[in-house]
Amino acid sequence: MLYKILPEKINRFILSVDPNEIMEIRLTSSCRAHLIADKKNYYSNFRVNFSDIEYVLARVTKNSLYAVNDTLVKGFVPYDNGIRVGVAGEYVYVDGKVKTIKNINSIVIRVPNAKTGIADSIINKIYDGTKIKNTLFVGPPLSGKTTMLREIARLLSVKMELKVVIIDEKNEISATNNGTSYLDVGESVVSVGVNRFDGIENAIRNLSPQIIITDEIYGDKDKESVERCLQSGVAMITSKHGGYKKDSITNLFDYQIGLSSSPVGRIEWEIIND
Amino acid sequence: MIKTVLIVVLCFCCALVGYLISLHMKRRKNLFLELERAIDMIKSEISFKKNYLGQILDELNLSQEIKSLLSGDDKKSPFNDKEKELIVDLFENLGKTDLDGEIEKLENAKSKFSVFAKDASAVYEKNGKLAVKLGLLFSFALLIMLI
Repeated sequence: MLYKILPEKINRFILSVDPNEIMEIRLTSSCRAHLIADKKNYYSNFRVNFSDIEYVLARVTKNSLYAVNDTLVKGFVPYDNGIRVGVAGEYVYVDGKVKTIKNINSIVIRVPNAKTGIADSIINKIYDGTKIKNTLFVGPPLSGKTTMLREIARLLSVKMELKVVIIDEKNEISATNNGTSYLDVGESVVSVGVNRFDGIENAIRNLSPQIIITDEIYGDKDKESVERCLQSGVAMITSKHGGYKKDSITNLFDYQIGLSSSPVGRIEWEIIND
Repeated sequence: MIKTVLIVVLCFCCALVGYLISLHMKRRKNLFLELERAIDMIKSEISFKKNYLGQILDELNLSQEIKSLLSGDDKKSPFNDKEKELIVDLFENLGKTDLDGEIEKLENAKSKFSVFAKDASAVYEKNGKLAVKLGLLFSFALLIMLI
């Protein structure tokens, strides 16, 4: 899938590693291509130019910028199979709102990885057969938060037979394309591309979930969504960037798990609030 | 015998030329109407479903003449250079802006195609039947002269 969106010279560069271990490809105009695979860094012996970035963007947006502009203004473009392309460039504001990003000169292609068994040690702490704990995963980028959420969705929906709804704003958890999830989320119901606030509200009202799983919460609006979810008697399992810090969001969760970036998904600390 | 056959073939050719000229005018009119309809469809697909352009164009089922023109083969195109440029420009530049930009671009193109469609329609109404009649008339005149 990656080979379809990259220029030939970058394809040749990434061929040096096992495609299943690729985690991230970072391309910045006038800089070397940077590949992260299995937590190791690789640099190209050539420099990326602006036309390489344009090449990738044209393919990722499928020559339909209007179709992805809503996410582009948030700094990313979702692609097939859960690949997410973060972008940096010049932000264009109209009436105080981001209208688009122009002259994009940096892109970060993040490739999702499914790792079964990663949540085996904690699944029984999240659900002991009687109560589902509201759980928050905290960790830096590439620490496996999304991978962990995906695995938990799979285990809870298949092994524990619970009704799981995934609010997959960036399509990273399920990698849904044309209605099919390409990454294994078990028997979860998946809403893709919806903003978290609307997604959670609609799920509570219409999908009768026992658990809602969503990725990377931040800010007051997300806090409001979490509160709304918990008040409705629906459990929430989610993730948050950063290290341990007690704040108004973390207080809402019964179980907090800190993940470290090496190796992916290693549990560094746990806090259980009974 | 050969002379008679040649006369008939010649007359038939004259009538055919008239008919083909008329057909060309009708085709131009129909293609512009098709482009107008295509723009309406693209507009509704991108503003409502935000489908990707490739998918929309596949579903549009455009005529072979337009497809050939867009793929760079304009030998059999019934359009003149200005029209060709406009059509190619529109499709080449689609998908490069946000929704508002795309809608504006499509509306602009549609208004131009409407003018072309009206002109082509007027030309067909005025000259289409005339071309057929002239073709037939010329073939009869030729027939009389040669016999």
